[in-house]
Amino acid sequence: MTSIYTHFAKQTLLPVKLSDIQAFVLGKGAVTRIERYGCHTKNALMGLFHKYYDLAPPYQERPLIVRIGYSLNASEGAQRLVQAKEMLHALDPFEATSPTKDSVAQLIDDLLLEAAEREIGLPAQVDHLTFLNALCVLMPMAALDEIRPLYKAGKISLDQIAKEARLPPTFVKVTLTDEWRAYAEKLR
Amino acid sequence: MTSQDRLMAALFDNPQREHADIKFFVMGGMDLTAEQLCEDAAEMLEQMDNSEGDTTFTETFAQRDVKEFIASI
Repeated sequence: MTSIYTHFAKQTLLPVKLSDIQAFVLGKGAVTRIERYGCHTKNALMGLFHKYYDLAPPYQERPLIVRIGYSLNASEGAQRLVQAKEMLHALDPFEATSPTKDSVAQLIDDLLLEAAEREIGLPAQVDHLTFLNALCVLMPMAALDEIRPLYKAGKISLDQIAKEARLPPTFVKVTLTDEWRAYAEKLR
Repeated sequence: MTSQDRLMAALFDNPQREHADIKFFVMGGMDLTAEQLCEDAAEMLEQMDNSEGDTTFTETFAQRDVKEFIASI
């Protein structure tokens, strides 16, 4: 079964469309529907993933619904990264989910810890790492293999690449490092 | 009611839903308390409950092959 990372790694079209990511996730059959909502936020929360079984009539089959909230205060690039990251969570294994009140409280506690303060649970680890995984989808390996040599030679700027990919430059910069390819390869 | 109580109520008190998972995207490098995170999350869920979600994920840009992009520089 093709992973989402292998599927998008060969793409050379930029920007990667969020609707293509949504179609891939839905095609895996992990969830019934994915909805997105632009929201106003006051603090540092840029995005939210919420998954639930819809028990409302007339459904008999308890469809699994995903709602993605993203901050309207963020730039377009950050909004795209947030939405991609949250869509990937629809593919998380059950062990990485927080289905109870206690597990949600633990996730919040873990997320706000300073790194290395203590060992955190799998849901928080996955939450931390998935934005890097989203970058693997939004900056496909095949496209990066064409771009990286020119970037390193100073022929293309970070801002030009970020504008083409419609992503925040600070995150795109990570994908242009020599180490990034090894990280992306491990996900495939 | 604390913000965490409000978030838990939004997730677990709707009889027409069975909660399955939640994740957060917090902007790095910013101080955030549990109270603030829960407040933002609860407000986001309330905004979702009070609006229509988009299921198309439509974006307005045109794609082009990376070779075209490079040639345009």
